[in-house]
Amino acid sequence: MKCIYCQNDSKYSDRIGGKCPGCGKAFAFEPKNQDPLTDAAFKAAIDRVSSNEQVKWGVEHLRYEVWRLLSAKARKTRRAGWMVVGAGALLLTCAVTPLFVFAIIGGIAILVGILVISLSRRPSLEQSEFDRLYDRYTAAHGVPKTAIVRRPRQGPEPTRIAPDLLEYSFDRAVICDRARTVDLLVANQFHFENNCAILGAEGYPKHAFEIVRSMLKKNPKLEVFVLHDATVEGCALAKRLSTDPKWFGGQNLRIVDVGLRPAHAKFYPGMEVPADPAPQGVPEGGTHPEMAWLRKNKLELAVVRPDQIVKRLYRAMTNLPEPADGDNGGVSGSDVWIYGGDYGTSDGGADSFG
Amino acid sequence: MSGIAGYIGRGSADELERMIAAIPYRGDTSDQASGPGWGLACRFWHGRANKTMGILQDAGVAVACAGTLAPQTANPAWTLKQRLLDASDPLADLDGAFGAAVVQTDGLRLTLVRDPFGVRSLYYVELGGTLYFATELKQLLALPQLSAELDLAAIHKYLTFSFVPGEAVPIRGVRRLLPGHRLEYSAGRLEIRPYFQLSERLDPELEDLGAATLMVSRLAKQAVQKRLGDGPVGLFLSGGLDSAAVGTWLKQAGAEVHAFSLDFGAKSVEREQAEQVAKHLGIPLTWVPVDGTTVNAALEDAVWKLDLPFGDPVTVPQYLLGAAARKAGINAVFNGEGGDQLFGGWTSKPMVAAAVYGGMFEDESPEEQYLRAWHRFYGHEEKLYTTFLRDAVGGPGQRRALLAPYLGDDRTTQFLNRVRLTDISLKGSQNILPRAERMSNAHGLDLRVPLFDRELAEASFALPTGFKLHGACEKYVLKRAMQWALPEDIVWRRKFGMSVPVTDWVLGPMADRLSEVLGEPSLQRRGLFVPSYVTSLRAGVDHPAETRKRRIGEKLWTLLMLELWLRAFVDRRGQR
Repeated sequence: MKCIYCQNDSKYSDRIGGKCPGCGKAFAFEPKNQDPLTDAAFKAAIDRVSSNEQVKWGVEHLRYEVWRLLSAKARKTRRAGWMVVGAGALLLTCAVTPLFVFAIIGGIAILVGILVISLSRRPSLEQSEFDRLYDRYTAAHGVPKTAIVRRPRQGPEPTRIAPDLLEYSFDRAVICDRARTVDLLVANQFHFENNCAILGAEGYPKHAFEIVRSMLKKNPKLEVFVLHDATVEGCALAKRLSTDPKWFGGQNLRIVDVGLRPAHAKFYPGMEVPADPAPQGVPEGGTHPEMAWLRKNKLELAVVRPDQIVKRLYRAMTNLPEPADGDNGGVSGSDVWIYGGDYGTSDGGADSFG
Repeated sequence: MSGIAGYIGRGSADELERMIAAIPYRGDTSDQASGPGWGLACRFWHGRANKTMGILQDAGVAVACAGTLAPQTANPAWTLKQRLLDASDPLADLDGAFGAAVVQTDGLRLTLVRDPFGVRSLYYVELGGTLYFATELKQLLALPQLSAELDLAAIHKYLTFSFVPGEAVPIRGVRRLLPGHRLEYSAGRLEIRPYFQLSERLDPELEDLGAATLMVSRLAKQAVQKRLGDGPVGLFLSGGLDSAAVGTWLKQAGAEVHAFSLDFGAKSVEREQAEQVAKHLGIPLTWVPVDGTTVNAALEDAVWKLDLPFGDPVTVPQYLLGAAARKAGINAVFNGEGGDQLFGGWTSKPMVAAAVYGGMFEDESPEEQYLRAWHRFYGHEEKLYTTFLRDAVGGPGQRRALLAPYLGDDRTTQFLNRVRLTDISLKGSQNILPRAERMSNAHGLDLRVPLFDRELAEASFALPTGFKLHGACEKYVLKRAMQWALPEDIVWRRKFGMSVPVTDWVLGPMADRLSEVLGEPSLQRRGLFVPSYVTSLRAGVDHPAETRKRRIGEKLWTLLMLELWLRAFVDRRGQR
């Protein structure tokens, strides 16, 4: 097993006390003790989710990255299992001849293959299991520098925000169903790069929420973008914002839904999870087939790598066509658009979101 | 425009000649005067109106003046002499685009003075007890006793800002007089103090939008009028509001105007708007085609005439605009620079967003946010800098210290005014104005920048900030002032800044040039940058979450201009 510090490849018997014989640093994981992966593999997941330590990420993104890694490992094992089954079948065919011993070997091979396949089913990574792995990794190696860590008290006190800031507004607003998506965008400077307000639909970040919402009212040409999970509530969020007078109800704005929808699930096979019970009174935010899927499943935005979320949102902002004459003209109320975007080839999570 | 040089101490006529010969493109005529312990020289275009022709000598005083005053006077050197030697508040309203030296020959007292916003420059260096000064760095490098030793702390700042800010320049020992400052030198003692500093003075009477709009309109027209001379003038027209407004005021003043606009082919973003403005104002318009090939051909001359490294890709297009204007027989050009800085343009908006969201994850000062807004190599030092460069740039906080007097100014109550103060003092006075002046003067053109007018700038700090950034509408009061004079969509359109297709150039027609200038052998020789990082930029690979392709071009251009500057000014000491 390789050490992530000195790259020394050591044997189990050499790792006395769980430490690297090369540099003495402690390992977080030990596959011999049934840990599902090595320190190097966990670090590779961190490198991937952070695009080699250049993009900030939340632990929820890392969970999906580790999940993908375990899935890839399971795929390899399954492939090996199928090969054993195939070899067994070949031997059985040969056993039609008097060579009885071939039939025995072939039968055993098929049984072993089936056993391997069944043991390496597509894995899921429960939150509690991921938390356990992450805690062990950070205990051994510290919190990765690109991980988003909230400060105990976020941002300046409202009273310390310069009073003249309240007179200004933003060109755009991104409203997210999860506070953690707000964290992701702010930590990666999306607000700064795109003159963009970023708010959680349920009141995040607390220190600036009402201030920013009042600032948004000062731009009658505000462009609104919505980012969400593929959930009943998420897919209904844009509609809710367009009618709620505390948000954009009664204004003639275009609200563009850039979030995940059931159709995106095909790019993240096996990563949808059972839906939570939908709260009462949530309007339907999708077509009939979409609603049927959403009642059973959900797909979290964190399944998409952070750099891809940022790029897709930027593309949605810059490729937005100008409203045609008469669009929304004279109609009281904001208009919801579903952003289609383009879909690249999937590698199981990296480049498939736009 | 012209150039000057001189010394106080044990200089010589030969040194004066070397310094003034270093800027042949600054005029067709030169003059020198000297006496015991002092010497002055100047180069100028013979016969240009409102300029000083030669060294002025009168009653124990000698004056060399480069540039013009606003309002214009027949002999700026004479006006400056009177103002500087009059003890009663001599420079209270001094304005224009000038750098001047006044020597009181009997007591050997030198005064250097630079215009309020830094259109012209002045550098000085003390060598062996003699103080030498000049309007360009290459003039000082013509002195053989000045060692062309690189100041890597200045390079470090360049790599963040894309220009060299502050008093230090990249040649060790040479200092720059800041805009709006005067320097006194006598008996080996040097004293520098400001004569002009912008500050917030909110005026309750201007809380009325109508009154504010009228004032802006009146002062802006006056600013144009102050800078008008005889004969036709050029206008660098972008298609945006600011240059269109200057064109409007020029026409209203009765000037004969010829507009010049950049044509980036399919990459042009404001072509229709420029045509629309020219047609609306009845101004003839010349398109100046610019692509990677034309830029490549002009690069060496532009770098040499820029005098300091400037990493904004707009410089060479400006050089090509100047060439076209000169070819059309124009001697003076106006531009619309300054509108964003004075009236709260779109560049203020990211700072507003940063102020609201600042501190959610880590302590980040407004200074750090401002540094990041330059989108060069701030925060990427570990990837770009070699160990040698990292060790040589000095301690932390140098770049933030440049911003603290403005962004951290407690006397300025409004956040937007602190950002504007920073923008004017750094981006405007140390980047936009000097580089634009040098690219115009590369072809012997006078540059007139009416929006960077002292009275107008002071008035802009008396306005409520909500009249500048009004909701999300930038430059609101200027738009109100222009709403009946220009087509509606020119006035109220949202602006994104000029888009120079630099990435297309550096990864396309200029790729060969880049592979030589920023190739591994060249980088190894210089020893400042990690070749693998620059190579990946040249392959078109940037930060993974970077959404704008133009940032690759901007970064590569910054490095390209620096290496070309190093070759011209360090390796060849400012010689062609």
